[in-house]
Order: sequence, then structure tokens, then C-alpha cells
Amino acid sequence: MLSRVADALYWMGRYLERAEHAARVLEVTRAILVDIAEVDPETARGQWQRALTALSVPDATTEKLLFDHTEPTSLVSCIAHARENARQVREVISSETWEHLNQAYWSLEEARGRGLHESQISQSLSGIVSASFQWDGVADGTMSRDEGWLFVKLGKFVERLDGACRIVAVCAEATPRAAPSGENVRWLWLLRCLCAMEAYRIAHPQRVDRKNVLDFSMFDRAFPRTVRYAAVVAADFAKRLGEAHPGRSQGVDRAFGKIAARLEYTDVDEVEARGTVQFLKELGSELGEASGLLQSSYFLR
Amino acid sequence: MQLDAYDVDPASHDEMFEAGPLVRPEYRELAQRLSEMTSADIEQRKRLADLLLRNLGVTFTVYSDNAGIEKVFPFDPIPRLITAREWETIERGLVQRVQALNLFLRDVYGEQKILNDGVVDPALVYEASGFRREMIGMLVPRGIYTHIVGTDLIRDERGRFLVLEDNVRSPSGASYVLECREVLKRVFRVLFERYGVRPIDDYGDWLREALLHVAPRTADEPTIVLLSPGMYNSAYFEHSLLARRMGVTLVEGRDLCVTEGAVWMRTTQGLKRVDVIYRRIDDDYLDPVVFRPDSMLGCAGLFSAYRSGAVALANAPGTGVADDKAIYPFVPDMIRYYLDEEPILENVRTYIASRPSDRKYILENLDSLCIKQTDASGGYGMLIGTQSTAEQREEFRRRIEANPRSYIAQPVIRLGRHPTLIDDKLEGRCVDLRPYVLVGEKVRVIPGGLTRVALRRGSLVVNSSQGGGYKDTWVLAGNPGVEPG
Repeated sequence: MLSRVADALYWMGRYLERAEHAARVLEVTRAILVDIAEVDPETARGQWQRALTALSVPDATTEKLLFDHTEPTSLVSCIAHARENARQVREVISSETWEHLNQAYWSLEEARGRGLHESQISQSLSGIVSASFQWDGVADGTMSRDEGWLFVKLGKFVERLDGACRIVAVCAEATPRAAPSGENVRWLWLLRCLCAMEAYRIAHPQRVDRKNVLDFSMFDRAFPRTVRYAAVVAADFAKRLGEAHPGRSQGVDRAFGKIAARLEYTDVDEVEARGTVQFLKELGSELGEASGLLQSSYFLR
Repeated sequence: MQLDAYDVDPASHDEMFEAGPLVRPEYRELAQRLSEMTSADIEQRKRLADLLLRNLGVTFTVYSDNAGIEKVFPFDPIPRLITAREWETIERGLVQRVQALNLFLRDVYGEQKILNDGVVDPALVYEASGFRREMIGMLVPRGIYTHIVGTDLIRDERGRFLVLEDNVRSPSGASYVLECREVLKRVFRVLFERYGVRPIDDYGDWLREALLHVAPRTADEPTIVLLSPGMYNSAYFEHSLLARRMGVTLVEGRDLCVTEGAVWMRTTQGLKRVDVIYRRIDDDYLDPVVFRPDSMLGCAGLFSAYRSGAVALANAPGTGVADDKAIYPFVPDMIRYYLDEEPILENVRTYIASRPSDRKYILENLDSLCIKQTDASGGYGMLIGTQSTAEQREEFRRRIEANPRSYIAQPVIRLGRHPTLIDDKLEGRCVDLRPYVLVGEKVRVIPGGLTRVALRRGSLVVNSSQGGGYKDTWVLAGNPGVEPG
């Protein structure tokens, strides 16, 4: 496979996952703000800031974060980047995966053209989330489990891991004078952003509190959007890529394996004692290094 | 939809109607079907076609702002029909023509007999912008220079097919033929079934076979690649589609490198040897060492690997000399010279401005001729005398006098017209036809081609850059209306 093609597949996976995650975070945040904006404006503001930090996007309106082509982190930019990457590799992906992504792009463009009404925004956000879910299904159902598949999936889980680390970190950050009601809002918000309401209730039926939510969102083995789960899957894909390219991987599999191992051999008490935010930051920078190795091993030309 | 309201132009050939006006036999079924449909039915099908084309990604990019806007090529859903008998002539004519063009290229870059015998003026050859002296004396694989040819045909007032120009460098458009067929099959399914339309699905396989034919003999399992300038090129969609149809890798110049005299592509497994390159970038950009030094699209050292036979290129560099508009008038002579046959398809009468007598005629008749720049395409650098202003004619007079080699002139031909969906009714619009010829072990013509249509009323220019659209072209397996035996 051409290095350029592998690169494009990896980034197609990343941008789609990024768009899905950001769309869900914005949607969930908006839903929570509707409830509390009037009664508790301070918590509402804090929650909005937390969402922006978790997504590493500038302080802008939802319209701008959704539809602005000139804003590189906007959702429409993410979908456009995913599509541009797909367009470069149409000969190695199935036509169904391309058409699905292409349609998602045009639906978003059409919504943008129709103007920025509330209903348009909500519809577009949930549209992106479901387009990404469907895309996963189409890709799973139509793509060969070859090298290209591994790059797409690795991209997806690297992005998921990155997003999970950031969003858990903003929640773990201590806020002075936080009202108890605000605390609760924060942890519910995190669970909803991870699609984990039901899964969490099953794992921790007692209550929603800091320790339990952190434990779940970082260490749960079974739920597919936790930090550990994403790290273990990414490490597995990296390992399979290494096996498919003897002599090329320059330790990519090892770098991803180390991240997974750090999560395997610790627990929430230990991490909280040493500082959860610090721990997640370290994971983030190790992930950056692993991605750099991936780049130099497979994509550099 | 009322066909009675259709305005037949008695002075030009209409594809659907003959004098009377009567519907031509092969068009009766289509006319019947159209008259049964309401305008709303047709509009709905048109919308469906456009949506399918957009979702397939059959778009081109207009660079009006930094973002670049993607547009669907204007597609007209009314198919153009060609009977088996008409096609048989076109096919034989094209095969003959392309054989002669390849022999001409081999001769021009080899022994130059046709120049020495005074059939073609050597000055016209050497001054052609597509002539590449780097190709002189080189033996190209299997002696084939142009592997993929797109020849533009028009019908004159009497309905005869004439060759308007040959495109032997890197003709584009085949992807539109393939994709619009898929779309039309869905939009006019029943009609399509009834008509017995010859399939065009083989194009990808034929193209692949033609490319394999020139693979260096040393390669056991030759690797074919399609070399594209990249996704921001306006024809990128076509590059991607053809790569997919052939099952070959689409590469950009930056994916290639030349070491140890061979061409390689950079893969996740390391370097992989490349044997045949179907290149969709111009000669000038192929290799910065030999051609334009500022080119970022090609690959340094590619040409020397090609000269040594380590890699095959299709089409060969330098083929542009054969589709130069000042060489075109000689193609019938080439056919006689190399094949000892009479041309099956005729040329349009052409005056070469670098000949003093022709030049005099051109300058005296600017208002009735069509003036073309010899190395331009896409409908650019053109003057249609009958539709021009005095200022434009003066401008062309100056240009021709300053640089006669760069201009030719042809009588303005009333191009054949085809009913075309304009708003919610049918109107006659000028069409041409570009069939695609593939040269491998055999010379083959894909049954069909790109029918381009000038969507602006009264316009004679069908190029997409000038407001042109396209139609599907149905080559029929039979001759409707003709009694068998």
C-alpha cells in the first residue's frame, strides 16, 4: 500500500471519530444548558467552557463550531477533511463507504445553506453522530480486513483515546467553590458524552460520584469508549500492523503497548492519589509520541 | 411531454427528427416514451440523475474562491442513439485513423520518411508545440505511441460524420461515459432494456490490457499505476475512477522515485517496482530533469528510466505533434501514405495560416470562418467568424499575421443538433461525439462515447469549460426500422 494512501486512511478514521465525538459533546452540552441556563447560569457557563476545553476549540458559537469552513476545528471542516482523505483513496475503499461519507458531507452543506435555525443545528449535530455510526457499519460490512483497514481503525481508536483523555481530564480538574449540584451536572455530562449512561448504571448501580465515574470512564474494560478500552484496541491494531510489516514498525507497537500497559497496571485510587489530571496529560503526550513514530514508520516519504 | 412543440432547425442535422418532420426510426421508442411522460416525471428523473451523480462524486472543481466549489457536470438525461450501421462506419474509420496516427508518430521520431517524401511539411512538425526532440530515435515499447485516443466527431448539415480533431495526448472524459451510463440505466431502466444497448463495462479491462501490452518483458507480474496530478486536479474524479475500474494503484509524483535506473513507488512495505505508468499529467510536467524544471507533479529521472526501457509510459511523450491542429489536415494523407487506403471518415476542410495562399484566404474571410489556435483546446483561443465582432476579427487578424504557425481556419459548420431538456421542454442543441479508442494488441473502440452538448442556445462550442454538458450515448446492437435481410 502506498504510504500516502495509508496516511489518508489513518486520517479519514481520525477525522470521522473527531467529528462524531465533537458533535456529541456539543449536543449533550446544549441539552444540559437548556435545563440549567436560567436557574444556575454559573454552572452553565462553567459547563460550556469545559466542553470547549475538552474539544480544544476556541470560544465560539455553536453555529460557528458546526458550520464555519474557515474555522479549522469546526465540524464541517472535520467532515470535509475526512471526505478529502477518502477522495484520495477511493480505489482502496469500497464505493459504499465513499458514497456514505460523501452524502454526509452534502447533507451538512445543505443544512448550512438552509440557514442557522435552532432545529437545523440540533438536526445537524445528531446527523453527524448517526452518519458516523452508519459509516462504521458500512465500513465493517464492506471493507477487506487488510492493511488499509488496520490504518482506518487505528486512526479511529487513537482519536477516541485522545478525546477520552481530554474530556476525562477536564472533568477531573478541581474547580474551586463548585456547588454540589454543579458536581453532579459535570459527571452526568461526562457519562452522556461517552454514551455511557446505561453502561455506567449497570457497572455502578449505587450513585454518580467522582470516584466511580472516573473509575468507569478511565478503567472499564468492557465499554468501548473508556480510556483503557481505546488504548487496548489501539495497541492491538498497532501490533497487527507491526506483524504485517516486519522491520518497518520502529517500535510503533511498543509505544502503543506501553500506553495500554500503564492503564492495565494501575487503578483509580493510585491515579487519584498521584493526580488524575497529570496522569491523563502524560498519557496524552505518550500518545503524541506514538503517533509520531507511526508517522515516521509508515507515512514518511 | 409534447414533442410537437419541438423546433426542428431545417438547416442542420437533427439526431431525432428527419425532414417532415418525422421521428427517425431508431428514435421512435424514445419519442413514444417521452410523449407519455409528464414534464414533472422527466424533471423528477433529471433530479434523481443529478443526485446520483453527486453522490457518486462525479464532480469537477471550480476555483472561484480558496475553498473551491464542487459542481456536478451538467448532464442531460435524454440519451443520444447511434444505430449499428452508423457505428460500424465510425468504428472502422477510427481504427484506420489511429493506426495511421501511430505510424506517423513512429515515423516522425524515427526515419522521417513522410517528411522526406514531402507529404507533410517538416517545418509544421518541428514547430508543433507538442513535438519533443527528446523522443527522436527512441524505440518505444511495441512501437505504440498513443494508446488511448479520443477523437471528436461532428455531423455536418447532411448528417455525415466528420473528424473535427484527434486527441492523442491524454484525452479525458471516459469516466463520464462510464458513470452516466450507470445513472441512466437506473433512471430509464425500461427504455434501456428495450433498446438493446451495447455495453461499455469492458472499458476498464480493455484499458488494463492495453497497458499490460507494453509492460517491459522482464516483469513477471507487471505493476501498472495511474499517475495523477492529485485530488485538486479538475479531472481527479476520472483518474480515481479509472484506477478503480482497472484495479491499479493511483499515484502522484511524490509517491514515485527513480533509483537503480528503475521507477519505484513508496509503500508501507518499502519501495515497490513500477512497470507501466498510465500518466495523466502533461509531457512538460513528467520529469523536471528533462522537461520543465519547476514541475512538482512528475518524478526526477522518470524520462531516463523510460528511455532505457525500464518502465513504459502511456501515452508516450511527444504524441502532441500528431494532434496539432496544423498537422490534422494531413491525417487523410497519412492514411493513404502508410496504409494505402482511402480515409473512411473525412476531415473538415482546413486552411493552414502558415501557407501563404491559405493565409490570404483566411484573412479575407475572417467573418465566415472558424479560427483556431493550433495548440489550444477546451474551446479557448477560438474565433467563430459568423458570431464575432469587428474588433475580435481585427484582434485575430493581428495575431495571425504575427504568428501564422499558430492558427488554422475551418468553415463554420452548422453542427448536428439533439433534443435536450432545457427547463421543462425539449430544445435542439448542438452535439458532438468523442469515442475512445484503445491501442493494445488490437485496436478497439468502446461502443459509445461522450456526447457533449452546447447547452447555450445557438452555441457551437460543446466544451465543458464553455458551458457544455453531456449525454449518454447508446450504440444500438441493431438498426431499428430497417427490415432484416
